Amino acid sequence: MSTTEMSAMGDGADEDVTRDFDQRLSGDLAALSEFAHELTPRGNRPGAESRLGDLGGTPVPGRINANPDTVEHDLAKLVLALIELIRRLLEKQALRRVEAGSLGEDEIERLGQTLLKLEQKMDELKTTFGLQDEDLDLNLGPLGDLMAE
Amino acid sequence: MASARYVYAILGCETSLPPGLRGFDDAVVSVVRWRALAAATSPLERGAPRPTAENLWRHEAIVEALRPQGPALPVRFGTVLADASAVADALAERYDVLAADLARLGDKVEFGLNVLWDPPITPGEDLAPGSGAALEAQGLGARYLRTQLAAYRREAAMRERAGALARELDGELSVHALERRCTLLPTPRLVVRAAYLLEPGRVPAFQDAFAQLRRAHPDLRFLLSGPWPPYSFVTPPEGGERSANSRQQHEASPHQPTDRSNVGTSSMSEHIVKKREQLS
Repeated sequence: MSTTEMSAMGDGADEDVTRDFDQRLSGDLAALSEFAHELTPRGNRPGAESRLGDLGGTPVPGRINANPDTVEHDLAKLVLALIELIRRLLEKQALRRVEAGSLGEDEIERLGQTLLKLEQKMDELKTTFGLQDEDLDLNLGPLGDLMAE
Repeated sequence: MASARYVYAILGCETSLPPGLRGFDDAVVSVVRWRALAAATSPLERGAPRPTAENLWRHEAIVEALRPQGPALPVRFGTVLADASAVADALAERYDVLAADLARLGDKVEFGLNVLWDPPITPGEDLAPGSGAALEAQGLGARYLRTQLAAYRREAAMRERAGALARELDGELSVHALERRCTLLPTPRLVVRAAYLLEPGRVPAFQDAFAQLRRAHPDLRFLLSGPWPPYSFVTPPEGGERSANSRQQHEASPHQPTDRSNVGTSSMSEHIVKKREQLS
């Protein structure tokens, strides 16, 4: 598509855009809607609006903003993200110990109950602050995302 | 009052612009030079353009109109700086990196590859110790932990199979490429998301290899897009960019200039796949 054509874009622009893009696509085009769904961040998918949005607030951004109007909520998000990270680390460590057979049945039961309660408490707090799992996956800049494997 | 500047691409300072090139707001595209580099920019009167399909294509059309004129480094969609002086500062601040990227990438092209699979279902009974009736007899805590363990093992098995598949696909394609960026399982159904950097002359061989891969894997769904300017291979600014495994795309605020070191890494092809789907 030439720039002249772009400048002349009018009511038929969407049609032109679609035609030009199709020339650069190959593969299973019948599955295009599936690809689009998978390439859309979870929080932006249809029907995946933030619970905070339901309460009349704004969707939670990927980064913490030092905004006086939202500082309490953003602080809660940061604290919960750190607790969630620690909870997952504890759980993985516990799973490795179960796999290695280094825990007795009583110990497995106690450890499992502790982790279960911790998960339930986290779910309660996320509901209270209108957060979803992906909201706690904070961007750490060059280090990547907090919850990345 | 000085206008905000939308930045399309980084060029060599000797590169001439195509006559009559117009960008957003129908403004004339011109260059801001710094030493051996130049940024192709146009003034913005109505704030930063939204990431609509039409705007994405307009950005892309400008970048592609510049590339036949000489080596050009694409700048991420939505890059807006305060004025021409801020553009010069941005060039000066990252001069060595941009000059090296321009030499490395200026005449190369990028292809985006996405592969969908039906995630293999690994029976939990085979993987969970003490499963079935024995699991029912256990306490709540032990049941929770062993259920988590089964899920953990299923995920590990899935990642292992995804890794093997990705290596097989990459082995066929990367022989035609200069560089590649590959993400494994960005979602459970998207087994591979990759970008390949190619010499333009290797495009036919790369596309043939892709066609063979499709025939060899009828159980997978493939999407190849390109050629594009090499957005994914531009060196990201330190600390100013989300990582490669990021789940969110950065988009410029509609009325605020972006950070002045904001020179592209987001995938134009992914933006456009989403917008294209919205149009169909």
